Amino acid sequence: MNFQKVLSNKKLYFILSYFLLWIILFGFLIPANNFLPKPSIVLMSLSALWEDYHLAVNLISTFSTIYISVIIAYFLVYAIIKFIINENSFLFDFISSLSFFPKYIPDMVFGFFLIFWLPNSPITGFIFITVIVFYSLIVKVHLESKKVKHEYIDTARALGSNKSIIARKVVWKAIGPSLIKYLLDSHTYLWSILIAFEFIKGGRGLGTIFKTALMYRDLSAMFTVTLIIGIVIYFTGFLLKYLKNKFFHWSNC
Amino acid sequence: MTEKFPLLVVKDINKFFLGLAGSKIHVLENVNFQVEHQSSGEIISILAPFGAGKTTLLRIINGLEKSSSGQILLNGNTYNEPSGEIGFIPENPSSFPWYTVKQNLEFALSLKKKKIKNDNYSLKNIIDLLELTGYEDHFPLDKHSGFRFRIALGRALILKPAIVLIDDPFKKFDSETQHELYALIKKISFNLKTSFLLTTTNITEAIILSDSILIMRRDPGKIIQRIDIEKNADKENMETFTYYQNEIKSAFTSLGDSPLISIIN
Repeated sequence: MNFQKVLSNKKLYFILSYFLLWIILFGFLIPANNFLPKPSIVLMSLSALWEDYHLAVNLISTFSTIYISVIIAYFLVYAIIKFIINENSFLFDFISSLSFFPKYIPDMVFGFFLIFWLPNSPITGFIFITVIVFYSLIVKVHLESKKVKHEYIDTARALGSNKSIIARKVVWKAIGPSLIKYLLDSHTYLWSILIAFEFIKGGRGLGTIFKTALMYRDLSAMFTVTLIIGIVIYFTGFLLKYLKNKFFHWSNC
Repeated sequence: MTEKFPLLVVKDINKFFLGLAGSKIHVLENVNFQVEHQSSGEIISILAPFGAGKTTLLRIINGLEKSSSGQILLNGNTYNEPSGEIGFIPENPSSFPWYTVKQNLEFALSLKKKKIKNDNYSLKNIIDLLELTGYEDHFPLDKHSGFRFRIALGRALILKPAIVLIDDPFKKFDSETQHELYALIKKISFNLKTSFLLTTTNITEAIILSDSILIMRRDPGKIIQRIDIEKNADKENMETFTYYQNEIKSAFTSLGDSPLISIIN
């Protein structure tokens, strides 16, 4: 525990040092450069981001696309868990066969097709993230369900539980901590691919801000948005960790 | 009505597993015994060495596994699937860590097909009986393994089972906890008039706890002798204890040398 605390303090000192270094280097020593913006300009760019780049709307759009999609995918997987863990079901075979595609074709390529099929739809991003999270959760559930202690399943069966109850009240519960940890580990990846997706598709989202900022070579806007994304991911990660400790406190499987 | 038939009949149970290279491994051979209805509940131990097929036998009795041949009758009826009528506690007592004590028991209650009209089996009474009062909202992982065993026992009992099967339950506990749990099982058996069938590799445990001991050999597993312990036998008395201990030892010795030595303590 103490070791962890020391580590976390060390990390904090390093991060603060980077900021200090940035302020000294780019605020005083080399203020005019094309590498990183001057700290004072970053502060001033906030108002431009708010008014010209519509930061609030775009941030809410990206944020809600990711987390609403995650919630929808999570409950969709819950709804069909009985079939995911039943190796004799048609759905299981169907899903297993689909695993061929993401293994060899990057997720982003699927995004390109979605942009081609639904270029003007406001929900293309939702579909993109929901499908990716849904599919990856199915694979995760399938793998984790094999690690669930057989005593849990035997006990539930002995009490007269049917397959559906075992799937939802035993397996789903047992693998809960692993699933939340998986979402915690992968949500930064979701931010990356959604920003890239928005960058390519246009419309709303933080990806669009990057596209516009690049077009106008607005380094301070890019830097400020990056900082904001980092802060948002940090706090949502913190919230997910809190939820994991509060509602998924048991050890995995 | 149901007492016309024995509580449990295990008849000519055989079990084969498929070994390497397609060979058949005979795990259980013509296992036969029965458990009668008793006015105060009965505790029966299956005493056998490791690898004799005790767990497999309990799983077959419960309906978790199919036998290769033979028949199991509960109150004169056959069954194919577990239904909660036979309580089962596996070797590693498995209280669900995501539920509190109360929720663990409620989980079992939610599966109940018929309403149980007996106050002895109310949530409150079972919690009291298992000495879990005051811990209803605690999670199992916060507590020691003896506590988790009580939860698993409560969850099995709350469905008013005809018999409770317990697979080698006490070997992981320290001596003090073991004796606490022996007393608890005896108390429950007496108060709820519930019969228990448990497996063990420990002679002392079998004598202290049981009304009847089924001696099982291995390779393949088979019940070779039943030793009924006298109703009013004073098991604390060294002479009585040694008498039963010798009887058990001689049953094993009659099988020849053996792996069975591992259970003699």
